[in-house]
This record gives sequence, structure tokens and C-alpha cells, in this order.
Amino acid sequence: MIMEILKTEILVVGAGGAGLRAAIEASDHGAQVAVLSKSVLGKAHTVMAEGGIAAALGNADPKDNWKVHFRDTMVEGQMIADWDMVSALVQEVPERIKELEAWGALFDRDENGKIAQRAFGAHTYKRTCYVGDRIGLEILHTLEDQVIARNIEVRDEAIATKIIGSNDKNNNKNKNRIAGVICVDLKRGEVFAIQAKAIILATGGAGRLYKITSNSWETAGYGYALAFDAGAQLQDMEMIQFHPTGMVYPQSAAGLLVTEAVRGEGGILLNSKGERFMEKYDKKRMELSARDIVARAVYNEIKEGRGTAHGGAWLDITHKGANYIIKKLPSMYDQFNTFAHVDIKKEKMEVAPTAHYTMGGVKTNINCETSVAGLFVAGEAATGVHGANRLGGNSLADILVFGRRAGINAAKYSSKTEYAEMDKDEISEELKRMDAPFKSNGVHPSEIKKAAQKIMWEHAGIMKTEHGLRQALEGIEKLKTMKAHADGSLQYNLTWVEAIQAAGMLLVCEAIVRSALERKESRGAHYRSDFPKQDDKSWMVNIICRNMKGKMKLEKKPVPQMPEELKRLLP
Amino acid sequence: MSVTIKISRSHAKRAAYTEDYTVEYEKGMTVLMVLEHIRESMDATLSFRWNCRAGRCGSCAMEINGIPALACKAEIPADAKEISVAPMKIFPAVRDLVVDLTPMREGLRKIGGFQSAQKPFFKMHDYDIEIAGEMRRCIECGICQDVCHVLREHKKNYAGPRFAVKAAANEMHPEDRESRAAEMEKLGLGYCNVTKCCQSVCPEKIRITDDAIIPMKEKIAGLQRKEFFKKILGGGKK
Repeated sequence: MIMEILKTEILVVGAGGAGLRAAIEASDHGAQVAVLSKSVLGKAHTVMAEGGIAAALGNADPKDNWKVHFRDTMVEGQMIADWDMVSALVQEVPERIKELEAWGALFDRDENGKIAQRAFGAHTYKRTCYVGDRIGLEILHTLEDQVIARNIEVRDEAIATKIIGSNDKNNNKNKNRIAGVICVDLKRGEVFAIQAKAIILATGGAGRLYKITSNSWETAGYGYALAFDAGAQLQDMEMIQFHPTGMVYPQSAAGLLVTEAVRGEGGILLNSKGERFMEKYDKKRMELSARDIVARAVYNEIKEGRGTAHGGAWLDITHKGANYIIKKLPSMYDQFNTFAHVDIKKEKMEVAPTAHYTMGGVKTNINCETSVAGLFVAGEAATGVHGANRLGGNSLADILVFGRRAGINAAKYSSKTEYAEMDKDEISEELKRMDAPFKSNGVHPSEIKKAAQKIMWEHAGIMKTEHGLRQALEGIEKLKTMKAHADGSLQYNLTWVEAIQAAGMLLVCEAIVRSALERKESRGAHYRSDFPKQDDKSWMVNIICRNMKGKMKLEKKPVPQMPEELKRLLP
Repeated sequence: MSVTIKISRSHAKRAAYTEDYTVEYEKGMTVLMVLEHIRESMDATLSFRWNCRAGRCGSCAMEINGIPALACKAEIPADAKEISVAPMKIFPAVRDLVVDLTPMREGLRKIGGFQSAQKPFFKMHDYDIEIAGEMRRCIECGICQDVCHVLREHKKNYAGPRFAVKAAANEMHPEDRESRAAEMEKLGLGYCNVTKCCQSVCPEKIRITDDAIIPMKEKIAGLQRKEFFKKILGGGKK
């Protein structure tokens, strides 16, 4: 077998904010680091983040501090988030903002020359730092500059298809550890291997498993499948966030995010009768209620026949005036102007919920370690800080805080670890699997993908029921039996890539559906219309998917108990 | 109503050729949507690059009817009969509409990351960061590089508009204390003859020529003047 094998102490899989922040930190700790990126460097899904990053700087509201941020995050996560991780998140994020500023990021300013902070849903105080409505681009490119300045090796447009374990599984030390990955370099059309002491997975979320999503092409949940396959646990997979406001039409733009900053800056939601319907759902917080509540409200208005012609609700910011809108929401203006030919300075936007964020993910501890030695996970690929509902602005906080933590801990780990030999059987099995689509007479993999997206949207979406979820599971199982076919060379062959990722995608769908079936209550983003109430007596648990020799096994684990001094911060 | 998409294709082993695909017109359809439709239901081997489909990531730049643009934002006009789609010519070809964007990253190495000498948090105002902020809107799509006739026809020692934007972003950062005129001269800004093609195609509407290149040319001229007088007046030294 002739295959290029590269070697690096730490391999970061994923080049979004979490991956790049991890790479910077690991490199600064003296480790040899390489980054594998599915898209071109600097184009990861992080650039899609719009409204801002939450940090209790107290610039807009001096009363704000990490304790309030902690309370907001735990309460809105419906108390199933990991308190340990949340407390690190809220205490460390101001330092991460400071660091971005030192690296050249330019946040919008307040009248005193400090970083401006805007209101976001369910945050007690104004604490979201922003750059108009394009915070993600600013963060990602700032990190990209630092990666380049450090000469960190980046292999972009290359996809990890499998994590390979150690060749020496008889030795207890090597039984449950990583040894490397198999990857495809899209541009060169080559399959190669990378041997690593530690892997940091920063592969983002799974929004693309849904028909309507705000997520990029690359965000199809493959990282969860990689980790699960390697023996790591997935947790809280039923917790999929639907953002209340995505674009509705035209088709090319359906699902595109309409930032929460529109509401943060004073935008109001109306139904087709012109009623400001949030009065019925959360009279106190109105449009700035938690995302799950606003999303269900919009969904409900549409379902009950008070939707717009394109099947949405109205979002109106026109009362703020043209100059204000252009200054604070330039991308929204451009997005509606370009795609829908709507002038948001003068006209209302049509919006509806869109699959946005995966609160669940690979189970880690505060050091980003998993149950597999050498496998670290950070950002949306991991779970723990958002519980049952993520607050706006907290995911960017998450990628910086835990990206850095993953970098530190992977560097520490690799400094006292030797390389393991990669398991040859696993490698050859993976290569056979990669070759299979060229040999089978299967269907176009897009068919499988689209069918899965439809199932997930209809049965594992904003409203779920036992019946629907069972149907979904049946549908997913059926799709698993279908073979995907591809033609042509390995070079930039999108159809082939889709084919070899189909099984992983279905596995993640299964984890979401099974976890949703398991949780027989409604909590945060997880809404079961057959169990519409939150049940704290039975369901203060995290649901974990374990890989038992290829079979998915679910278990419930009581949420970790919080120490007294943190409990006192809660209402 | 139908529209024919004429796609310039290439494989490693074959010279470029054009292949036509005729699709039904749909209101609001973009070039990117059509490409994905072709790959999913007409030709599974068609290769192109995309990611965000919202004009944010800059992955899907290509030449549409001869002009570089983002495919995700390029709406097909209702009266179009034919649309030609080709890869950007300034970058090495990979396959079909995909080009190698590595030069975009390698060029950044010459400029380097920004590192302030001072400790944040900084005190600055929106008016202090207006121009640097404009430069930082760049999505690194490569369209300005592709349209630049200096790069296309002369390949002089000119880094290109994208890197002028990057250098200007650092230069105009309020906390920047470095003198970057010599560095910018090395980027070959003198070769730009201010035809403003780059700023006319920039999807982020960055005024590349007006706000980056011209002010930097002035700084370079200032440096040259200083050096000139230093040389002839000498200040006692040779």
C-alpha cells in the first residue's frame, strides 16, 4: 500500500474559531501543530456568526459580571448544562476578547471609546460585543492572521474520514487511544494518513442534517460520527436549536440567518394580522425572550394560519431609520437586498425558524478531554456549556474559551506521550470503504442526504412526537441500507465526498432521533408535543449515546451537582 | 422558460472544454443553485466550491459572463437565455470551476498578523476605525486579484489589490505604531495604475483603490521624498 503518511504531534481537525484558537494555543505551548480544514482556510462556518459575542465586560451595564452571565446561561440552558464548563466559559471570555483586541480585531465602540455591547435574548444585561452584524468574520480572520504569523501548517480542503486507533490493542495503555486519521485532500485528489499524538476535533455542528438551516455546506455533523466511531460518547444530541428568524424566500436563501441583533436593536415580530404576538408567549421579555420560546412562537403563529404569504412572520426594524440600520445591520441590509429584493430600511422582513445550532455533541470535561485518550474536542462539536438552549453570543465565547483550553491540554498531553502505530486493519478497511462508491450501483448520494434532511425537518424538528420520531427512525434505518454511487476521479469530487460521508451523517441523525425519543418531556429546544411539560423530577439528566461495538446504546446520567457557592448565584 | 449554462470544465488530464446544461428558469435562482442542481440531477462529476451560500465566506468566486463574482449572490435574470461560467483565471486551475486559492494565504505571510505593542482594552471611537474596519470586511474571495489587469497581463512584482487591502487594514489600525511604507513599497503598489477595476467588482464594496491603494501610494511617495532629501543633504553622513 502506497500512501503518504504525515506526522504531527497535534492534529487539529477543523479550522473554524475553535480549531484555530486551539492551534494557536498549542503552538504557543511549544507543540508541533497541523490544521486540517474542510473548507479553504478563513472560510469556515464561523464567518456566518452575525450578532456578537457575549462577555460580561460591564461596559454597557456596570452591574454586569460573570456571576450574572453564569446565572443566565445555566437558567436558559434549563439547568442541564455542566456548571463546571459554564463557570469557565463566563469567567474566561473577557480575557479572550482582550486577546482578540491585541491581535487587531476591531469591535464597534460606545460613546466612551470602549467596546460597545448590545442586548441579546435572555441575557439580563447588554453584554454582546459586536462588529456591525459580522462578528464571525472579524474573529475568524483575526485568528487566521495569528495562525499564519506562527507558521502553523494548514492543510485546507482536506477532510478527515476516520480516526484510526492504535495497532497495539493488547497493551492496555494503547487500547483506547487515538493514533491518527485518514484524510482526503480534495484539491490533489489524494488519500493520505496523518499520525498524531493528540487530535483536537473542532468540526462544528450538524445544522445541515436539516432541510432548512442557517449552516454552511461543511456543517453536516461529520465530526460527531468520527468521534463516536472512535469510541467517544455523544451527549444531549436531542438538543437542536432552531433560530427563530431565518429567511423564508427565495429558495436560494431559505434558512439563511437573520441575526438576533435585529431584535436586539429593537426589531419587532408581527403576524399577518399585524399583532405583536410575542405578548402572548412572553409578555415580559417579548422579542428578546429565549430562542426556543421565540422559535416556537413564530412556528405556532404560522401553523395556526397567521403566517405571511411565504409562510413566515414579519420582522420589522423600519422604525429605527435608514442610517441606524445601515450602520448596525449592514449585512442584513445587503442580504435582503441581494436575495429577496427587499429594502429593510423601508420594508418588513419575512422570517421563520431555521436549524441553527447543535447544543449536544461529544462529551468532554472542562479540559476538553474525552473518554478516548488523545482525543480532545472543542466548540460546537463538544457539548456541555449550552444545556437545553444556547444563549445568543455564547457559542463564540465557547469556541474561544474551549478552543484555547483544548490547545493547552492537548499540548500538555502530547509532551508526555509517544506516537502510537496506526492500526493497519482499520486503515485498509477505511480505504475499502472509500473505494466502495465507485464500485456499487447505488443511488446519487444527494438522494440519501435530501431524504434524511426531510425526515429530520419533519419529525425531529421544532415539535416532536413519539409517533413522528419512530417514523424518523424507521426512515433513517431504511436509508442506511441504500448504497451511494460516485464516478470520476478523487479530485474535488463533491459527489464522492457526499457518498463516503453518508453513513456518518445517518449515524448522527440516529443519535438525535434516539435521544429525542428517550427524553419524554419538553425542555428548552427539545419540545415533545406528547409531553409538553418540563419534568424536573425525572429528567434532570443528560442523555448519553455510547458506542457498544458499533451499536448505539443510550443511557441517562443525572446532571452534575453544583457546589454551594455557585448554587447561590441562581435565582 | 429555460436557460443554458455554459460551463468551462477541466480535468487534470484534459484541456478545458465547455459543456452546456439547460435548466428550467425559476424566479430568484442563483448561479450557485443551478450548479448544485446540475451536480445533483444532471452531472454528478461537476466540481465547484461553495460553503456559506450567503456571500460571507467568499468560497464561490468564479467568472460569470466573463466577470468575476460570487456565484451564491449572482441571480440569474429572468430574460437570460445563456450564462457562461468559468473558473477565475488568475489562480492555478484545479478542476472545473475550482481554482487553487493557496496564493491568497501565502500572500498574507508577507504581511503578517497584527500585534499591538500596547495592552488592551483600547480606547478608540467608531470614527477612528472606520477605514481599518472597511478593510477588515474583506472576505478573501480573490475577485479583485482576478480582475486586476496588472496581475493578468504583466505579472509584475505586484502583490495585488487583496494584499493592499490587508496592508491598509494594519496600517490604518489606530493602535498600529509601525511605519509600513517600506513594507508596502515591497508589495509593488507602484505598478497599480488606478483603473479601479478591483473596487468596482468587490462584493463587499470595499473602496480598494480610493481607501487603500491611493493613500498608501501617497505614503510611499512620502517615504521616497524623505529618502531623497536624506541622500542629497546627507546629514553629515554618506
